[in-house]
Amino acid sequence: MNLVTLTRLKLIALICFSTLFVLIRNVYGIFLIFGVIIVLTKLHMRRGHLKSRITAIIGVSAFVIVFQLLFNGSVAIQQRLLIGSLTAFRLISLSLLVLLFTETTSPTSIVAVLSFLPKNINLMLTISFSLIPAILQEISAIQIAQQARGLRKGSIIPVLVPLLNRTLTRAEHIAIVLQTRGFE
Amino acid sequence: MESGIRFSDVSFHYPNKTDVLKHITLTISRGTFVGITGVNGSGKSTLTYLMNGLIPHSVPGTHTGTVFVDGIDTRRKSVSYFSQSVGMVFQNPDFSLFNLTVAEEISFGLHNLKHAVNNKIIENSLGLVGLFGFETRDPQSLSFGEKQKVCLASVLALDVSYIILDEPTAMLDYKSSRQLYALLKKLNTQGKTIVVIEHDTDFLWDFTSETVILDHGSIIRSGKTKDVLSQSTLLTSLGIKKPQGVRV
Repeated sequence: MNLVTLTRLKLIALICFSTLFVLIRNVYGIFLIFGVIIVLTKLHMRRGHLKSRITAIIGVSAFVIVFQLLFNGSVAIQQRLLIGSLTAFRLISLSLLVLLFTETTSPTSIVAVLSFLPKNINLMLTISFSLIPAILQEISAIQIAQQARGLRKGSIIPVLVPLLNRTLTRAEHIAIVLQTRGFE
Repeated sequence: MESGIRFSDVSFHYPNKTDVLKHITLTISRGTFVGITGVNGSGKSTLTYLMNGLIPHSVPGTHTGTVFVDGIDTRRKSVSYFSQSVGMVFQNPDFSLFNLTVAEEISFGLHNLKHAVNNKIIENSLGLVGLFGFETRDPQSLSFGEKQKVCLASVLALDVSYIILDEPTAMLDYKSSRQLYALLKKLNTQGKTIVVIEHDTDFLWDFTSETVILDHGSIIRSGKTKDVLSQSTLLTSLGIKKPQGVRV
């Protein structure tokens, strides 16, 4: 099986799994699928990546549970807790599914699978995929420059303005380069 | 038919700024190797934006006078049209690469201009810049010098008549810089017209046939490189480095 066919199958599986997970109402079913996803991600992914994704999504999940407990006054407290928890499980699972897909699939294959899309949209996707590592490098470079001038480590807000500025400059420049290479 | 790039009394300023270029009249003949030098802010990069229609089509500002590429007024055709004959390598390759592999980067322009795309063209252009075997690499993972070479290879693949390079050696070490200039010289002897913006006058002295000195948007001197760069008093007064050939 070639890489593009494999990626196509993975993409279809991702869409089916996600839809099933959103539609399913049975509590045991949700736990079962959640368990399968956890096992799959643990098998295929590096520990550090998994940990950082879980850490990022835990806050959002906690917010969803608290929101249900405080504002869904139409049902009993146990019911609110259950609804909040199940929504949180869904969020974590969907996030892990997407992470599993992107970790095990190269951006080139993803773009190749989506080549049926119009030329402009395909180019937009290609540029977005290619710039993710560049923007991560950019964030790191800005943070280092700011820390070298005394900014406390871990401050995110001061990074945003220069990052936005550089990203927009880069976008303008890419638009010019596209034209010089015959893109209309 | 007229050939070459001809500026006829061209002035330009960016929105809300004073004139960046003032009454530029200049002819770049086909087959020449032209160096453009001058201190920062003298209008060198802006001058190159006029050579393929980026000004007035894509870069905002006010433009008077006319630029002709092979006799065609740059206002009358699109940038894409001129990209068939004028290739451009920008100063910062980080901002010029946007594909997922080096091969896709090279074939991007070929697809747009409806040229034949095959592995041989990609391999040849990468081989010319010394990056043979880099086809499947991610451009973002390359060193700065390698990225610069990929940008040049993308232009070489299009087989354009004019190649414009904006400070191509700014981030290259001395050895790579000389290799790059040697390649440009070779392309020039094969008939390509090369226009290069360069601060290091030693490279201009050694490789170019003609040099243009810009200062505050005006051409101060232009002509044979050896004649222009021999004027050491003028170079000193403009803040331009004297080439070693003149210093000795």
